[in-house]
Amino acid sequence: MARFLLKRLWDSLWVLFLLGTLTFFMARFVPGGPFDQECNLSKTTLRNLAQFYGYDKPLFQQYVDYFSHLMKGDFGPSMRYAGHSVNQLLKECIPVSLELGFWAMLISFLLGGTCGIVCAIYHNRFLDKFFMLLCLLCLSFPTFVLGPIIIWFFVLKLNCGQAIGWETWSDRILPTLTLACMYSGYIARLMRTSCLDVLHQSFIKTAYAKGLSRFRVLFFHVLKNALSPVLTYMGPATAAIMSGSLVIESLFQIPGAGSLFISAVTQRDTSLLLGTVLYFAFLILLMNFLVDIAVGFCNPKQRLKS
Amino acid sequence: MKWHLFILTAIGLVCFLGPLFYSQDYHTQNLLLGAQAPSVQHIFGTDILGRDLLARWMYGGRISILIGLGAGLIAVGIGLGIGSIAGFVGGNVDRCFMRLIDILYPLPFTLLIILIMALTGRHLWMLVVVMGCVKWLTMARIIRNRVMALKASTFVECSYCMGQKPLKIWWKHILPNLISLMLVYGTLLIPNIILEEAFISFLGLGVQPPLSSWGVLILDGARFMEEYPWLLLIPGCFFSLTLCSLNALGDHLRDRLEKTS
Repeated sequence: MARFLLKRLWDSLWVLFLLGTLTFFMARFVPGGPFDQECNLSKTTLRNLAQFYGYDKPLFQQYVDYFSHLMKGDFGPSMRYAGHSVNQLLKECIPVSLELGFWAMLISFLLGGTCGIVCAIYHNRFLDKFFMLLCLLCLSFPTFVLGPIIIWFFVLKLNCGQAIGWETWSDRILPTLTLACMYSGYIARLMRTSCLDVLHQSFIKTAYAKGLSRFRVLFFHVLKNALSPVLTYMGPATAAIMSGSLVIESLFQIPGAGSLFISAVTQRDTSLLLGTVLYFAFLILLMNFLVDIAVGFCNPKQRLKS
Repeated sequence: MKWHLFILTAIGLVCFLGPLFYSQDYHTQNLLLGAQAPSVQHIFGTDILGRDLLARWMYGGRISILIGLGAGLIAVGIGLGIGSIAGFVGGNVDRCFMRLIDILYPLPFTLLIILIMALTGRHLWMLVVVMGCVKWLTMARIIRNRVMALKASTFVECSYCMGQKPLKIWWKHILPNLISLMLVYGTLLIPNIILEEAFISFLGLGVQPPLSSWGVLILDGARFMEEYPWLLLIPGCFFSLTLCSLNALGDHLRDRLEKTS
């Protein structure tokens, strides 16, 4: 297990490095720089700007400089938010995004998980069919369709709550629910399939034959074994919720890392771009790593296999 | 006929044949008309610039469907190639490819697509190619596993014993057995790609005006939903209906063709 985890850690470092390099060169090689949209800058100003951000050095030198700063945890100064460092901007935005993502993840896992278990218990009966239809509906309403419709209906028509900001707890309800909707559908389906797989195995029959209560069998025998595919999905779910939060943050005007990334992309703010991309990649890799550990605890076979 | 197949055929026919019979144009603006609610003349109404929404929806549908099919084909092609090589050759080649897929798997590809689109000028073909090049990972894994299982089966072994060449074995015995697998996972991939395209267009980085796609229409609708809700509700609901039918079709095909896997 330890060897497997170390290998994973090594892979993750490579991914971060590759992604950073790729983004760095992609942002530099395409025509147009961060200062092109500024109108009427004199030659001297441009030269000073380039000098300040190290743009006048050879490309490889810039690359080495950037990564040596990165090793010390310094993302450099932002190019469009004058006077702010990328570290500062990220520090302000990350807690908001993390909170949004955390609630959405929690809701989708609780809701989807429960739904999946109920479906597996009442397999092929009314409740199962009803929830599966609901899941198909959830899957068909991605965040960028559901978000505007929810704002239109709840905020503009019914006048309950407001669609902007991230101050009070009531601001958090609509965005998190919108974000969680689609992924709870995925998780419910996943949970249903893996529960059904376990329910058909003979050790469940044995457990019932021993006279264990239904509750005990479901929670200690079925759930423990059915959980690992769902846990494995948490890695991709982080990535999915993160890209969903790009839409949610721009729709509900939440000052999070997603809107920071969008503004960095559209305004060609190279250092901010690198900072946000590396942050997102780090988050996904961290989640995958934690999932590996969790699955190892849940499933001894996985431990032995590696 | 199943309901999902019926809806998909109807939407496909309307998108591809509809513009031949429909008198309205997708890019002619009529600022005096402005945004009109659905009526007999404009069945879906008109948008803020007075353009007919049904015409825009049909042309946008063409682009969205073609992007889905194009990128889906590219992804299935790459997945088939790499999965076949890894599974059929085996050994170190297999290990290399599988390791590559393991490393690529957790990359935040949506961010990369957004990045590439924003930096390279938002060409339509670029979107298709990039999306196709990104979505093959799962496909390659599934195909590789199936190829390995097939390679170990008796009829392939017999064919080897009778002196058949490996490439011919792949072509005659392995490829036909992969078709249903490709069909099922290709069908499940297409809604995924259409979703991604609409997502990127929604952020304003995909299909550019005056062209439209379903994502562009939803974005336009979301901007003016307070005054003109039909601009959001009509494209949004039809988009969800399409996704729903595609997903249901994929599930149906999987249950029929690939129940065991």
